[in-house]
Amino acid sequence: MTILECRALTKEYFSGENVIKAVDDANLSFEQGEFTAVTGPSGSGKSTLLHVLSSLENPTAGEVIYNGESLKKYNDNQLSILRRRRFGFVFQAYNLVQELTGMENILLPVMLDKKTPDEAYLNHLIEVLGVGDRISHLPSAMSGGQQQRIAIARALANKPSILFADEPTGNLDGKSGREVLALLKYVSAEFGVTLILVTHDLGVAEQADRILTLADGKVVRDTKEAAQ
Amino acid sequence: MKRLTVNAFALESLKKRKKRYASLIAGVILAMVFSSGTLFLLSSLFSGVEDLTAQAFGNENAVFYGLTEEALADGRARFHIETTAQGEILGYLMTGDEDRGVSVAKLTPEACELTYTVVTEGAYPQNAGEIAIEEDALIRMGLDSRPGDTVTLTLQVQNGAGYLPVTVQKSYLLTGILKDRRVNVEYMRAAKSLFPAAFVSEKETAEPGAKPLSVTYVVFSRGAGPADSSYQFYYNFCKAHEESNDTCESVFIARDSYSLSGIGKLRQSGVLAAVLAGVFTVVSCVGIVNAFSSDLQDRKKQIGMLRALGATKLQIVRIFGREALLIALCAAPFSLLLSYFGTRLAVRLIGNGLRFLPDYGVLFGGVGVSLLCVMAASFIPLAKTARISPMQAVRDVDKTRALRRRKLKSENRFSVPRLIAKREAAFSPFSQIFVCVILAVSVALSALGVSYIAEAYAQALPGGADYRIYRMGWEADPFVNLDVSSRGFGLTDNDVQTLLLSPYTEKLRKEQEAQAVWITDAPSDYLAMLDAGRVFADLKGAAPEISEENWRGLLADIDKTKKDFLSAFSYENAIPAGFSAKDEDSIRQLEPYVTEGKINIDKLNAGEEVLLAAPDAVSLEAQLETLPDGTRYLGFSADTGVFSVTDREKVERFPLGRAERSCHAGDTVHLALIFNDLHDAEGTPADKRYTDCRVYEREVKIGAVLSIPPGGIWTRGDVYGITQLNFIGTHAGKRAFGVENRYVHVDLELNTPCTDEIDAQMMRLISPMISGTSFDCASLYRDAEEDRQMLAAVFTGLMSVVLLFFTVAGSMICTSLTSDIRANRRGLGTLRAVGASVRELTKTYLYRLLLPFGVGVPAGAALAAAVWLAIYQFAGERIPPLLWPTALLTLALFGACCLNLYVQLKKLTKTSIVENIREL
Repeated sequence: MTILECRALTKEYFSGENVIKAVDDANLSFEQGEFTAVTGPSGSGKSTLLHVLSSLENPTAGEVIYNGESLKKYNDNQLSILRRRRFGFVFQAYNLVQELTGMENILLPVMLDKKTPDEAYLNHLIEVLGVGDRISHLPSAMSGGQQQRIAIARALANKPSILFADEPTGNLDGKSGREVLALLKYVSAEFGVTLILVTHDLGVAEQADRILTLADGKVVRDTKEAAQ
Repeated sequence: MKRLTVNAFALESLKKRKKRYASLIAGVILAMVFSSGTLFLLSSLFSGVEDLTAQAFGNENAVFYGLTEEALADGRARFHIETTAQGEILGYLMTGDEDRGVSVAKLTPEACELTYTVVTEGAYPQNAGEIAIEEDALIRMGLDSRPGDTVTLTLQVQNGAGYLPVTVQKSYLLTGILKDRRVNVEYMRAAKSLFPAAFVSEKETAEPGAKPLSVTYVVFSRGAGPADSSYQFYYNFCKAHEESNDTCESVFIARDSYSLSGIGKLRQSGVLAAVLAGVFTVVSCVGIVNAFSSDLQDRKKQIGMLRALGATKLQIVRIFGREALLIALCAAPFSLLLSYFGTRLAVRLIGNGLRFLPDYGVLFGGVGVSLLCVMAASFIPLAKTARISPMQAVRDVDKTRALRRRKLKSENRFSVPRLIAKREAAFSPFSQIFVCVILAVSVALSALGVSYIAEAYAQALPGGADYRIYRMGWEADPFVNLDVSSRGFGLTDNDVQTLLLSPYTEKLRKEQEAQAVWITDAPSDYLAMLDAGRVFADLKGAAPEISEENWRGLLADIDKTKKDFLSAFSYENAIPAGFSAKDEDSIRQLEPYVTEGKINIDKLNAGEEVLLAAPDAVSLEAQLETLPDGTRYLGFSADTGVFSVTDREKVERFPLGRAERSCHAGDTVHLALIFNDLHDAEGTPADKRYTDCRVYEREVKIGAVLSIPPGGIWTRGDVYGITQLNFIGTHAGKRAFGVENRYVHVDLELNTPCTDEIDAQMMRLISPMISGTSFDCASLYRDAEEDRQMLAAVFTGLMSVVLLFFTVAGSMICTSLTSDIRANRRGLGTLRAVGASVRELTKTYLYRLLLPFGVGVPAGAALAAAVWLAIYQFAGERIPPLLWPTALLTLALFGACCLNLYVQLKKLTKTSIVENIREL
């Protein structure tokens, strides 16, 4: 079942008088529970594609469709609600809120949604991610790997449909990176979440169900299409 | 290749950051304008006020008539005479009525300068046959002439201390109208008739056979205190020369009684200026430190990079210090111009008559000092920032470290905006406390200051009366204390009708007075003490040996003298008291002072009842003061506050006795109202004053007792004050005594704002009614105008302080939130990415905004309440609180902070979430 798709998606940036097409006419669809890796050289538009797909940025042209509904119609408030309820984000630089403890960071999307946390689910999540002993600490008192685990827990706290991960292992050493990737794969399978992961590491990409390769903003290779 | 110097770096930085620096420069200009401009404004106002005072009184503080050269030389040698200037009184000019004339004099140029003669229209006379007259003197003589007109006047030619028996008709060309001075000087009538209010040129020759009287304008040294004041020097000088007849008359110019002199005094002492300068400088510096801190906080990474590249701390200080200097130099001309034109505008707005007399030394000095302050203030955060290590600056570990130090309890249920606001506030507690303190002080200062000014304004303009016709002087005998006057003394019903028929009259309040005696066989201790207080007070200086044991005996001795006087009325024992007949409206206004019984207007009108105003208790106290020269001086005090404690060097006190009020509502009293139609004139010997008296007796009931607070009752809106022992009734009630007498106090309220034209017309209407009597008319329009100017000056100063505090508080709140939003873009981007809407972000900062307001404003209110209570407790002064202006100011400040928040968040949300997150 297609959960997310994009049609003629284009994102342009202006650099002086030059127009740079970071994403150029992308037409893609993502299935429920699918693990997609987006790869390509630096400046190929991988992160931009992820940001536009996840509504963190507005496209210059084209549209993103979530669950059959175009996000074009959504205003800023509706997009915020969509992000907190249906999307999860994991960034390369963890991006935890420094003033909040690990637990508070994890609870952030739930609290923004003014929901009562599902404690059993959260405890399970914390146990799976192995961060139980760090959740009462501030991010500044955690290692990079621990921060990224908290970030993953935060991304999954509201039981999202899609998890967007932008170079989640980029700031981590090899061992921690492998652990985080294994966790991402595991939790997306465990909780049935669609995972779209940006990476320039082919070793990481190869573990995905599907690999999208971008060059100069264009999708030059899609393993799913190739398989079909 | 272009050489990179500190100046070039600083200039380049200014160019690149000009948008950001625009607000910093604006802040610095504001701070400089506040610190230097307000001082300049105050200095200009003080100069203007002093100028007004000089216009009203001249620069001299005493005027002597017929002062001999020897006496003057002695005055210079022994009595602190600093400056003198002379003129000659040629005679007394009038249009017919002897009591409606003025003295004419010719002054030397030095005397003109010293007396600060101001020509309001035309010019000062230059040739013989020309004359300039004060505006009030023209009205007084019934002249409607303007400069260029010829005026024909009768001249009583001066012949030494008196006049030649024959008068001369003189025609003068009126060249100018002078600003009033004669009416502003309070003194005895004899001296007033000599005070020159018409001036001829130096070329004018005296009439044949004339002997002009010298008039000497004198400045006594200001001195250092009440016992060493210009008045004391004047008093000692007069005392030393009174027997040698070196002077025939003299006047001390009581400038202190002038409403504006308070500010002048403060200026002389320099206290206000120093305090204000200190407050402005400190608070402005706080603002500047805050602005620069915020800017440097933003540029920490740049500083770190420069340090990493090898820049020394000194180089960092030089680079950024040069920027601060350039900013201050950019701001200086603007603040100079703003201060100058702002002050000019403020002086113009404050009132006509107040001249803009700039003191450029204060302006340039103030800007120079504030420039130095800006540099000093910018150095504080700079020195602090330069101290941090390069990596600390690049990574901005301050916050991380501060957060690590904090032990937090993780919360499982929370409102995201509230929790983040709470944590952020906890991260910088000192700055939060500082902002709260500044805000609290602003609120307290504003609440108290505005209340004080409003009260002072209400007090300064009593009852809205524009003209007050009142009796001058007090003619009571020292022992008996009876002020026996004529029934035909004062304004008639016809006069009152004439005033009521004026097209400008809105309301008239009138009062009749009578000397009353309370006839009683056995006066209570309370009444005896009240009486003794008055009698002893009149004896001060005589210094009889008085003690707790002998005061009754002493009073009995004095009583004997009193009884001799009272025998004229065949009373064995009587206590002198006042009797006032007031309008019904005025009586109703006394309601708050009623402590016993109640005011029944019908019974007052029927003459069945009177009101008694008397203190709750009286305690008699002798004060024996020893002057530095060994002179002993006796004074008295009663806890009614009527006799105040003096500030002589050494005061010994002897409590003589205390008694509670012995008379109550419902008591019947035997009152006699006494008049003397034949011998009421000033200077009538005592033995004549009590003969041929008319006495009107009646037994009346005390309907209500009014409790007199210390200092007496000075009701606003009512006509006159009440002190000591006073019976009050209505006009109709007084007629029940069988006596018809005239009005001795009349207040007139205009139905339109007064103008110079209306003022002149009213004075023409009133002058004939009071000419030839001991009555005077005060134009409160002029007083009110001067009071208004004084209050406006104080208000301007106060509001500048209040606004400065509010501005600094606002700027601290805004810069702290703005720099936080800028510094925390990544965090805010993250919040947006995980689903926080703009509304939630706004709420986060609104909570942060509410914190200083939620704490600072109530703390300020509590501080104001505490100060208010302390003033009430220690000074007994209850200032009615006026809080809406402070509430408005606080709301305006909150609104401005909200607006700034909205603009900053709008800027932030205009950029995409990704741009925010990537702000590394």
